[in-house]
Amino acid sequence: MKRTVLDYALKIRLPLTLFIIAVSFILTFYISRAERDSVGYAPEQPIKFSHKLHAGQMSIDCQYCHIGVSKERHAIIPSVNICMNCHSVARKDKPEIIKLTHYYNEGIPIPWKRIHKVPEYAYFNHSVHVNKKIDCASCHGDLKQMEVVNQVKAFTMTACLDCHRNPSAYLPYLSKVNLGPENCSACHR
Amino acid sequence: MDDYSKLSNNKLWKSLKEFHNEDDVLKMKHDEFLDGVTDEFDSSKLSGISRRKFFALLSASAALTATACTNYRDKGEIIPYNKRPEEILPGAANYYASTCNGCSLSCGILIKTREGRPIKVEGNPDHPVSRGKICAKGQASILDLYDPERLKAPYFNGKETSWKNVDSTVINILNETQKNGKQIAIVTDTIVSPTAKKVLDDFTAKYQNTKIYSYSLVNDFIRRQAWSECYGTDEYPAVKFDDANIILTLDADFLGNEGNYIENMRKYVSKREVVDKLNFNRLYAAEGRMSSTGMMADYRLKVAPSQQLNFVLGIIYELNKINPHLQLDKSISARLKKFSLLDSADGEKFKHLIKDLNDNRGKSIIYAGDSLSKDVHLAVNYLNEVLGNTILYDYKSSFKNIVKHSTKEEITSLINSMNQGKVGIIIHYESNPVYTMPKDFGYESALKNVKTVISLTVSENESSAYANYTLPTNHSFEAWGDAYAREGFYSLQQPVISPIFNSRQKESVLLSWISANPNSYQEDIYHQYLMKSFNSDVFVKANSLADAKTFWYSALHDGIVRKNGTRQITRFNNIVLNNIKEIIPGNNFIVHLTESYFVGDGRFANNGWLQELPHPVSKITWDNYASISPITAKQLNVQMNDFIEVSLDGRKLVLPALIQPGVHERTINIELGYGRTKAGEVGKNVGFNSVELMTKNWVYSPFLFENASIRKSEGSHKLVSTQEHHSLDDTFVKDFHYSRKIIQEGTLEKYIKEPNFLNEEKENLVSITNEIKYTGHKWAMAIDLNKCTGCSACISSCNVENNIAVVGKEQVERGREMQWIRIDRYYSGQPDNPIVSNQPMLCQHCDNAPCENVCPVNATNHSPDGLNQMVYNRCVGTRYCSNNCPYKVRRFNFFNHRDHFADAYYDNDLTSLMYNPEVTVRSRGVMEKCTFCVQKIMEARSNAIRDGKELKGSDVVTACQQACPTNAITFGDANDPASQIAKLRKHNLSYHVLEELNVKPNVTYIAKLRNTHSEEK
Amino acid sequence: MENIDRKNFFKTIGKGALIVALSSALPIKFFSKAAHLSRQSNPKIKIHPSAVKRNKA
Repeated sequence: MKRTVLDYALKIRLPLTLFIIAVSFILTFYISRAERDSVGYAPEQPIKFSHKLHAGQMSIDCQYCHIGVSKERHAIIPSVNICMNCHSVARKDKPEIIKLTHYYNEGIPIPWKRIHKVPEYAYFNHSVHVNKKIDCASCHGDLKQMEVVNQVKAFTMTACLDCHRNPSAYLPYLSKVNLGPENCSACHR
Repeated sequence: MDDYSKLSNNKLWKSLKEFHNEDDVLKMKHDEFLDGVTDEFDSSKLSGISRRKFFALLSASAALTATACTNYRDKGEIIPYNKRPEEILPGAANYYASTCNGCSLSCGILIKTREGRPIKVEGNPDHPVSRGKICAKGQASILDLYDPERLKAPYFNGKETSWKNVDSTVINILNETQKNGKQIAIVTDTIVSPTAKKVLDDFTAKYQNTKIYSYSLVNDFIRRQAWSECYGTDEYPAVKFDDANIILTLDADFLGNEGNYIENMRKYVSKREVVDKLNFNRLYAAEGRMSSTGMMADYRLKVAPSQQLNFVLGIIYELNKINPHLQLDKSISARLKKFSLLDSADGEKFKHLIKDLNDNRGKSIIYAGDSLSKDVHLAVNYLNEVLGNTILYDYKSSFKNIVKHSTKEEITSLINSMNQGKVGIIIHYESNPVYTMPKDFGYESALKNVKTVISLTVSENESSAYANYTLPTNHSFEAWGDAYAREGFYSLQQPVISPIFNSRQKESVLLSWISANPNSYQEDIYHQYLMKSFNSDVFVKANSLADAKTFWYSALHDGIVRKNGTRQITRFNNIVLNNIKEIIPGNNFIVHLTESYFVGDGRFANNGWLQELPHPVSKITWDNYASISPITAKQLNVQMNDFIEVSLDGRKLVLPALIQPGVHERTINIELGYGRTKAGEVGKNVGFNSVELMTKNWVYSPFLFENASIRKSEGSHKLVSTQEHHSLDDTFVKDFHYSRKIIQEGTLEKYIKEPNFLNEEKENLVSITNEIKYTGHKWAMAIDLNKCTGCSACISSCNVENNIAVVGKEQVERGREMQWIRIDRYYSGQPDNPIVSNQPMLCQHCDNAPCENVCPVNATNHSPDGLNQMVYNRCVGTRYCSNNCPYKVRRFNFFNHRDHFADAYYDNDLTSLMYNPEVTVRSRGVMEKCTFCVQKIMEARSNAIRDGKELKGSDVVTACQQACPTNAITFGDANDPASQIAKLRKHNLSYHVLEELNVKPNVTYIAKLRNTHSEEK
Repeated sequence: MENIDRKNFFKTIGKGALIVALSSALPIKFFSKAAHLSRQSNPKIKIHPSAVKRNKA
């Protein structure tokens, strides 16, 4: 039977094209997923600070170091002088503390690797969440068990909206919680 | 069988030709290809790469690319402080009280900083005069701190040097000059700081040959002189415009650019109330040019500046006629001229004026402009005396004169000394005399005869071009200071940021030269001096319970220290009436030079925001021009943009003409502050230098010149306006703003008679879609058009708050200016004296927004609290939304303007520090518009949640609302029945623009009422 | 003949595209004088130690 162009197109080109599209989409989706929602990202930090020790074992309150979290938009990574409040004396001989003291004495700010980052076109506001009594662990995971901080929750817009639309499912410890804003300008302005 | 074995030895042939061994077959066997096929083949033209190499290259580059995409999850670093300064919480703003140095009015400001960087300037509510408001120039002055062309280091003859070298060399020069008996001249601008004066006095005490010269391009010299002659003091009082029922201004733009116009505006609108009570004054403006005050006037009379004296005498004459009981001095009665406007086109208005002045004796004020001649001021002072208006003079808040301006004779003697080589060293003390002094002083050429010229300045200017030592001084946000501009209080200035570059405070420079020790300089040398001076002058007299240190800190915290000051009110000296000299009006033109609204006396030339602010009347940007009347234009056959040559006694200036409706036929108005040649990339060669028309031998005033002639010159210069110039004669567009109800106005009389006159023709609009119910907050704005003077402080404030880009003249010509709020100016009536209406226009945040429906990617939509949201990262730049907007308030980023304007002038590390971190900096291809300061709404909401309170509409103050000196803008929650905005929305003078489109805008305008004597305008 | 022409034509286009792509990636800004201002390094920002912060609302 004579092969027409349409034949060729439908029997060979079309399935081939569809196959390529499907494969590339699936590959890209799964390979990029880690980058897109960053779950599990646990980089090495300049100083091996352990939340398990400080927040867990020693039960230091989150807001002792992260001072801005209930006052304004940003949570604030603590400056070195907060660490030195204790570590000018505590464990002075340990190698990590020696590193820390070196930073303090030389006046060099510590270049922590950033883990949790909402893109800059979204203006996330910590204090609104914290002042509504949302626990840090609901988004950042159980930091009290983490030696090295890693991101446990996806920071995609979908993840945020899921909680905004159905907060009681994600925050069972709150007795009364309103729906979070769903409109664009709540974050994108 | 035998045949096959024989076959293996046999030759094989494929054709008969071959069998017969023909020649061409043999030849063919040699060649692989037939004849002709390989004719074009040239092996040398083959590419050098073999197939193998090609594949190797391909796979290698692919592998390398793959390795480049490492660690895609890396989000960079987050770096906190090492030792966090106690007062900084990163993310929260700090406010510092200080004083603005933009002009000599010294309004109080609050500088908002983020992480130690100033990002916004607002008014200081504690300042008794400016009361929390500053002008457009003050708002935009922050750009000068981050100007990339600021001087960063001292220069000697064009080469960078160190302060140590400069100090030691200059101290030697000073000592030598002192020894040689030569003069040390310091040329300064207006000084309002008593401590700065002390420094100058100390300098003079140390180097006794020092002479201080104070010269400023725009000044109130004549007013002070007249006041001194009339009342014996040159510190004239403030005028209580808020107590006046009738205000008559004579070429005085008191609402736009004269006196403390911020204060004047506030006082004026206190009697333009329609909301809570009906309280109206009446403004008569007699002027030659069209100014902001003229736009606001209830009655505007066209009087040429040189006719003002006769005008005043005519008023006195007419007043005397209708009220013979007025006590007139004999000397004046003898000279009364019957200069009557009764017969002119303004006759009716003049009659009303006389009657009003007579009926409101003691409750009215006549106010003459700074640029009028002394004789006019003398006559006006007398007239106010006669009418008993002197109770409106507030001596408790008089305008101080810390350092008197030098007279013409003093400056001439300086120039002569310079030319004779008797001046050893000249110091430009943050002044620019080469640009600001009239050319016939000969300052520029005299400078060449001075051995050492030092310029202390923030940026390079025309005077520093002649300097041997160009020394960078601190910007006012980096500097200490104080101001005693008005009686009753001191204003303090503190730095909010350490000097960014290697600059020093000008007072500190002098102090280190006074100490004669080049190693004595400390960074806080003037800080200590100021504290000491403050302690001895202010603290000691304050009788405070606190100690000196605490008092000082609380003074810095507040920005203001009140002091007791009484002034003895003196009597009017009638003898001055004999001194009044009349101007013989000529037949030719009068040139009136006025200070630029936004560029000042030229000092803000390099400020892109201010150059791009449209002129309040003409809406021209990036230029100055000669304002001429339509009649004059016709006579000279001059059209818009044509060059005209203005000549005065041998001084000439060629500049473009602007046909300005309302200008007096013989008046030409030109703004000063343009045509600078050395002002940085942004400001240089913008406009035309009208100082060229000034002379030191002025007759009436430094700014008014009779007997000018103008003629049409060759060529034209495109003047760029943000508003089209509709011809008032074009019947198609004439008064379209009335017919389309964009501007709705009335008169006071009509409103009193029929309070509901605006709503009579209101249509009942039916919507075909479902109306959305807004529970919770609904943000809305109301603008009271009775109070808007077109000062553009709102535009300037919005520019700073929202990181608006400067686009440049070319792009403004194409309508691509990026300001989110604009003030539309409409003319109606006759071109020779039109009625002018101003209307701020911004995104109306319509409930039925036509822009929201048409976005193909849903980048703009509506929030549940009534805002029209703009999501920049979704926008693809279709511009359909802007197409649909009936108000045309959407601005599109046709370029990445940071990159595009003036070769990325503002795209550098320094200017990038100025951005408000709460507002996105938009790039190319996205649409932007007013957001009702959503960042402020969100911040207020966040603070309310933090404090456990309910968010109230009044907690949110938008940038424009905060800046407006008359509080014409109200913003708040329309769903809150107790709020001001809810009241305004229901007011019977409220209306929406283009209401019939049923887009349901949320910006309500309160119609302007003009206080004329009839129901018609 | 025609094949060589076609090859040459596309070669030229390819070379042109390569030049355009590379030149658009060139750091012209580094060499241009007008962009000198953009290249200035980050200035040091320090709050003034004697500034008195305002605490009023």
